[in-house]
Amino acid sequence: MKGFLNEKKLIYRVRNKQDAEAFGKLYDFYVEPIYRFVYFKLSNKEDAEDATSDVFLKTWQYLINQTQKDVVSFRSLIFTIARNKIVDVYRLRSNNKECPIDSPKIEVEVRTERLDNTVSTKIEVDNLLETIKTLKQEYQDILHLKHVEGFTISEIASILGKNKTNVRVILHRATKKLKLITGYE
Amino acid sequence: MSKKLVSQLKSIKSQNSRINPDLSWVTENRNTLMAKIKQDVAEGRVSKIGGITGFLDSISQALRVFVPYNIRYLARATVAVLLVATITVSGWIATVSASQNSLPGEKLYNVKIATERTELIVTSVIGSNEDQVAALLRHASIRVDEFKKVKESSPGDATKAIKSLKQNIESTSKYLEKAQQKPKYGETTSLARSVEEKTSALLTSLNEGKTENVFDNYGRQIVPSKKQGVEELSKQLKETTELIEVTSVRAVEVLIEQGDSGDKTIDRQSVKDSVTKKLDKLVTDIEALQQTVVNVKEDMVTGLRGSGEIQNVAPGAGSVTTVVQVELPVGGTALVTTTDAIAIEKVKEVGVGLNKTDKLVEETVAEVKILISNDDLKGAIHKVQELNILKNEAKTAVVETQKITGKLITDAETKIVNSVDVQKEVGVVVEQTLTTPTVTSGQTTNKVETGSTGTKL
Repeated sequence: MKGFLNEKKLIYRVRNKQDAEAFGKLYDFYVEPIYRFVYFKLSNKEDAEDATSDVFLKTWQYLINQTQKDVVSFRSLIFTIARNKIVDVYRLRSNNKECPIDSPKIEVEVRTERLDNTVSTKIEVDNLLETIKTLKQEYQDILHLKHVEGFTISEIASILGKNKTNVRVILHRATKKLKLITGYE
Repeated sequence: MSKKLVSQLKSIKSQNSRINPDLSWVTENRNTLMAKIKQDVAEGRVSKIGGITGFLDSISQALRVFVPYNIRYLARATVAVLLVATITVSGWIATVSASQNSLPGEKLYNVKIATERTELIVTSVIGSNEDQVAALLRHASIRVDEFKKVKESSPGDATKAIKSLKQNIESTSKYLEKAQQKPKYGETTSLARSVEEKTSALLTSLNEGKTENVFDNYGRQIVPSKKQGVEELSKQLKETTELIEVTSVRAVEVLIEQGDSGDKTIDRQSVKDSVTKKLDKLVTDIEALQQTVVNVKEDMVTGLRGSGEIQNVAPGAGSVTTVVQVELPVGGTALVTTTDAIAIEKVKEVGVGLNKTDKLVEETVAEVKILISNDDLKGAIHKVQELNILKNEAKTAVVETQKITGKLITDAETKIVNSVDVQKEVGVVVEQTLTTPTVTSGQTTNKVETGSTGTKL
């Protein structure tokens, strides 16, 4: 509750006083989740950095210029802007026929040997990440927002522009598919 | 869903380093973003509405942000009720504006304080920590002005102002401590800078309001009805001044820490200058204390000597008073009562203590200057904090001696004081029994039973 109110106070200060420091605090809180979301989709560090910068700049411009529009949830707003930015990057890549070179696909393997626990867990997690990228975009978004970033169904629904029931159904389908591929029960 | 799958999904953030941004990029990007935003605001690319329209716009924005649309829609029906309430409130607003110049003890002063408290509550909801501290220090400055205006006429009311000032500084100190423990980029520096500037200004203003000329150092010129009030005021003033000094030094410490953490907005030279200023002020204060002790010693002896001829000391003729011989703080000896002897020894002790402090201060000041020249500002400010503690302890001792001296001087005007040639080594107490004079036909005569001749002071 306190975090929610703090965020509202910051948004008020940004909109009413054009307070850069208040926006800076919002940046501090959201930069990592936004970067992770963008990097997860673009798989390229430079593109992710540029896109993240753009997202925050656009968010600032939206808050300042669209003062007549309500900001029900800042989280939804900034992630929606991020999704739109990702679409722009995909479009640009498609036009320029670019391919990301940062993270080559790693084939999903069934591990048969026991390694050191930490290394084993890390490799499993890396494999899982690559597995998720083989799923539909919609499934990827929901799995990332729900389990990696820890958003609620309401927040995810608001970001994706769907209703809550729809989100629950998609989440169920996404996890079922993931379990099928990874073999986890 | 499989627990292992969920836990692995949740651990992607920590296990996969590529998915997380570089911290150096995060900071650099933040700085670039802030610079761009500030430039846009400065160049007026962002429109600001002023005046009454701006005020209404602020209200509208607050409603849009804090109140969901559906509730705002329903609230339209209550506008008429709000209008009625506004008319009632406008009477209150007139009272509030009239109270702004009121002083402690006046009827509207409570309204003034209530308004300030409301301002603090509102700032805590919609403002930042920096706004809150700015409001606290603004109120603190008002308290100092009030104190200066009422200190002569009403020590009791002046004490209220100082106590309120003390609360403001305590609250400010808590915000500073919180910012120091959990620093936030930009905000902590800004807060510390504001605290340092304003507390220094408060100390200057309080020093201008020093009461030495009005309230006698020893409390003798004060009318009995005000005496207790003055003592309480002096005590509160001392505690509050010390608190402001400590807070001011702490603010400099926070600036140094932020500078060392890489905050490029901090000008290292100006922080060095702040440390040097604090040091110089401490040295000046300690020198003033030394002078005060010299004055106290001289005043004590002057007071003792001022009584002149031997006079009645005991209530009735024929009674006997025991006196002792002591070495006076300014040299020479005297016969004084046992109580006075204890007081004199106490004053001498403080003088000796201050001499030791003086030596320690000299050494510490030299150390601080070396630390500053080596750019070890953190070490320097810690030494300054130690010096501050030393100074405050010395001041407490000096104030105590002033009280003792005041009592002694007052009593000395009716005491018998005599001095004798020193028969034994200085510092050795010789007990002599003095017979009180018998009063005959308006004249006072004295007898002193002693084995040696005495000389009058």
